[in-house]
Amino acid sequence: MNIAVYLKFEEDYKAYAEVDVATCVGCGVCAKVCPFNVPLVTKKETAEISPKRCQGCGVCVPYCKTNSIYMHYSLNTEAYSSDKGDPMGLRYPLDKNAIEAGLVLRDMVGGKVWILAEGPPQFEESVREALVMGADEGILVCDSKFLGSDHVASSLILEQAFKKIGDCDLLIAPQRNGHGEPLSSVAWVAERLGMSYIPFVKSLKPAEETVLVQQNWGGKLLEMSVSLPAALTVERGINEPRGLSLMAAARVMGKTVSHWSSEELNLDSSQIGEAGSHIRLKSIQALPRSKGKKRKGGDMLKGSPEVLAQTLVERLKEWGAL
Amino acid sequence: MSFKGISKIILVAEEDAGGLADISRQLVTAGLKYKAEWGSHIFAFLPADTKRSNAMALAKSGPDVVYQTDNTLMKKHPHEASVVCLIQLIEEINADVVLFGASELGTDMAARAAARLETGLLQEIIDLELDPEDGNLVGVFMGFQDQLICKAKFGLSKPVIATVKPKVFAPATETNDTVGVEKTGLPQESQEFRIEITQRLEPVDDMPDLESAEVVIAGGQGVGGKEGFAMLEDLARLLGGAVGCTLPPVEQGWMDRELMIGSTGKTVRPKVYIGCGIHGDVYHTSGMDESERIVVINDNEKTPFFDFATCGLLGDLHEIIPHLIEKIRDEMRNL
Repeated sequence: MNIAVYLKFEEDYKAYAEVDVATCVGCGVCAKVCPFNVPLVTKKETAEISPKRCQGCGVCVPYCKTNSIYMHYSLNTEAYSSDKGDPMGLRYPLDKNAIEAGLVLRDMVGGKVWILAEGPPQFEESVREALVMGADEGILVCDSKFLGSDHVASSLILEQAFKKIGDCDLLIAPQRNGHGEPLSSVAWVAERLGMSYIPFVKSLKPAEETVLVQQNWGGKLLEMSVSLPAALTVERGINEPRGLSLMAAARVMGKTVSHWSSEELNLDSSQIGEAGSHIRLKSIQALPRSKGKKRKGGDMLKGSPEVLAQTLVERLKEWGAL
Repeated sequence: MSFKGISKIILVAEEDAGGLADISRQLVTAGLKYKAEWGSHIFAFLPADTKRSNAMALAKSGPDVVYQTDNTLMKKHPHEASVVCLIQLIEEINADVVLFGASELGTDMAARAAARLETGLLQEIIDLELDPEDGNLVGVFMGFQDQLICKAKFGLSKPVIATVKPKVFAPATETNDTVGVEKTGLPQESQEFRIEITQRLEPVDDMPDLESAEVVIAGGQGVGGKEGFAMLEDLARLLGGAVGCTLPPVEQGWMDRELMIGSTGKTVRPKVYIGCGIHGDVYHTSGMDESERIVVINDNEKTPFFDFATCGLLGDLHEIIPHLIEKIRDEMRNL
């Protein structure tokens, strides 16, 4: 069985805080609460936050008594343009679950596992890591024209790449992308290529010309027989991803990861990126954040562990948690 | 060109063991909000293999009309058959917006329907609004691991499809007024199904989501390792809760980053929060200080986290928690 595992890099956001010097009184509370020691109170008695050093966490905002700190958010689109970007390994645990699911199935029935990753050049490291885990071939679909693609445009990229690999029975992807959003582009590919589509996969077994899948369905499990070819998105807990060994790392050292651009996939720039998308990101804002409410009147219990445990049990009963 | 108003909205409802699902009642509230704002007509749709009583409950909660699918094929192929029926309805009434609850069913059906109709899909929105400039529809959602509020503009392809994040809208209540329930079946042409349900198994013993759990057990550096977190998981299972953590356990590789609570992680508001071996920096407390009741377990009396406690236990968590687990088991046996 030939299996493609889809991994997708998601753009991060950039954020920094800016001080309105007209209203800042230079009290220095932002400097005190900043986890990264960024704000400085200058001789002019106003705070200064270096946009370069600011990590954009926004912790300082609710502490400012004069509401002089503003957060700026934007999509970080530099990943493709900066060549010095750090190599990125597999950052999201679910990606490893998807790879493992493919490897386990291949080990049972034979065939090949292709890693089909989409992202900037630094993302090649993720593909390499997947090769070390045991995947057979690695492909990085990489083009700055892909930036800003929504589900529809992403699905077109995936579809073309999947077809270029050719002769694959199964497409496996993580249920959620790195931003925690359901990875729905797989549904489009399945629809266009006439494949079965099953999200929320909890277990996966080969059968004759089908796969047997258990799907998490609102806390219940549905067991189903799924015709091939099929596209599946897997959940946490489907497996325990294997670790990386030095031996395996040495074995794949000479392997090359193929890079495919929009031209190699015959994609026109009107079909991908913002131009090919139905949905465009308009704005990013911070969540309203509190500075942490301390509680007065809480009690501190002391005593032996057993007595403390007993007291807590009583409280939990009182609160209706037991 | 822009939408000439949002005149028709379809809400895709669902049922669970207890009847009409809570997420669907929340969806009705969302629908009624848009009806009030935009004067839209609200159609509710109940997919395959659902009970008549739930369609009646739906009819009493506020939509203008309820459609229920009715076909014996649906027991075996609910995923595919429901979408075929829904698409038939979407095309028949020419819907502008189709909303689903962001459950497994909603997420699955929304993706299938959007793919089949080649239209825009936004998952887990918390609101919809109209762009003040051009009147186009804008979806509001929590992006980047739920850390930021994002707004995204839908293009002009119709209908717009979105799933609505749970617990954003209050569930709609049933009234004495009721509307009609219409039956809708599969289109006549023969259908080919690729997925066949062979068995329905009982509930999986899964931990609830960190963000929706009513009890959260959180651990910090003081938990000491994976074994310590396994113990917290045992406790969470007994209380029907979920386990979260602070930054140090993530850095040490004991816990996944997605289980981190705090300003750069998840925000929790459980009924009971139990924090074990946590120092209490603002990066963590900003993600949990809205919890109804906070228990802090720590062996250092000067730990700042005690300031947040409704109830603080001064002692070693590795000694207290095993006792706690044992005592809770005793309690459960006596029930």
